[in-house]
Amino acid sequence: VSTSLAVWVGALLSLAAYSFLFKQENWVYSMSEHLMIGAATGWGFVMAYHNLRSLVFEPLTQRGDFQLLIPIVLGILLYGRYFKKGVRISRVPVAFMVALTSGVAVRGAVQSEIIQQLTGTMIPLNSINNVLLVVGVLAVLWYFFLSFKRGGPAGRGFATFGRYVMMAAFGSIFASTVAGRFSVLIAHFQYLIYTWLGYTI
Amino acid sequence: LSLWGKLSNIDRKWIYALTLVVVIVPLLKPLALPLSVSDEVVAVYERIKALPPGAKVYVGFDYAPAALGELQAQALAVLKILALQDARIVVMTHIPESAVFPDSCTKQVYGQMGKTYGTDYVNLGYFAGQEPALAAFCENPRAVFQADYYDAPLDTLPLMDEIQSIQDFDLVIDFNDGTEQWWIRQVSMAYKKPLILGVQAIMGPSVRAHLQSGAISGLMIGLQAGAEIEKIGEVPGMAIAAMDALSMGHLAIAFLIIVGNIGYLVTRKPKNGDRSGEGELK
Repeated sequence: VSTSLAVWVGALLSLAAYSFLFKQENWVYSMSEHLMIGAATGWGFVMAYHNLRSLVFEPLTQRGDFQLLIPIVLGILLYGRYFKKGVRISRVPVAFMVALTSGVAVRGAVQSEIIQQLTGTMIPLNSINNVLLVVGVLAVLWYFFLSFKRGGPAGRGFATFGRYVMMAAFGSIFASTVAGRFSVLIAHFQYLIYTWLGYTI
Repeated sequence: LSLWGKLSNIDRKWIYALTLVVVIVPLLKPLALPLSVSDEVVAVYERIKALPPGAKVYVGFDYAPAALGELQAQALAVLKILALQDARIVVMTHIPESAVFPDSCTKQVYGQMGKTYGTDYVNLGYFAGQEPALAAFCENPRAVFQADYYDAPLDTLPLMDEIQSIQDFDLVIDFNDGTEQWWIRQVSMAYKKPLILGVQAIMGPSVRAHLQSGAISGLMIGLQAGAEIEKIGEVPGMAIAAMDALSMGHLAIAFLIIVGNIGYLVTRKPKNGDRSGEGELK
């Protein structure tokens, strides 16, 4: 069994969290939940302080980097939302952030999300996988042509095939989700069994 | 209620108990089930093995503690392979509560293998500002970081002298639990740098489209890829030890889905378009 206090705290809090499975909203679970929220808030405060110190105060005071005053002022304006008269002014930094983030994201998004995906679908139909990929993409696109009625059994059948392709994708995502959740559970039991209890294979 | 009706209404605590058993038993007594390595992971391994000694690699630890179980094994295995290749690495994260991961992983691998901090590896810690900050980092790391995780100025770190932009890295690897698009857009698309992503299993189906389109150079998905990279790199770790439990867990879930669906088909009463199957169960 581990002799580390940190491991013991982690293990006992894990068991406290798992107690939710067998009795919902019990005090042991609530305690672990509150501890986690408190610890996360404390950690967030420390990281925020570290950021302000290393990215704002030190460059400003030690290197005289006065262009930082612009984001500092914008950041302070964000708190205007807590005052009736300051709500409008708080929208300025929000607009700035939205515009900046959108602009930065767009420069690569068109290439990766549209052009690369289009070219990735223009492939030789020399294997079953390639044929399935191209026909599947076309069928799903056809399914979402909602501007006009898809007439005839062929049109409806192709749209139905598109629906089945999406169902297969949803099934794949669900299975991946199961795998992911099991991975998290297994990793935690490895912690409890190997690290805390000291069991060796 | 019929047998199937009872199975459809089974108390969820029995499902929890079944899950516990199928996970714990293989961890206590491994079943030694076979493990094959996928082409995707082989490609990642070959890409890393092709790096020359002294190559500079960026490694991002962009996953929250909730994704630790899936991505930490991948990260540790890749770090071990990079260290054996004598690659030099720069690590960081954009998730505040994950700042400890680059620190613990680099110390566990590079530190214990006798590599020198500042020359062989550098931990920049946490960066605030999300995607715009990543874009700024790619253009000039000093625009985002004045000092490393341990408050040492970047100018005092020899490895950072060789890095003026993301272009100076030979390879970019990011372990990611949901912001993979940032790296695709800012690293792969904007700078055409080879990018390998390690992602959670749930992200696999969507991110694989970027591998097929050539937007990324390599992909590792979930704990399975962690075990595969451990196996092919001959750096055994916790992922290989977990694979039996993962396989048994999948079998249990498949069994429950089959039983649940049979129960639904047997007990449902299709009447007036009612397909809820609740008629008999009530």
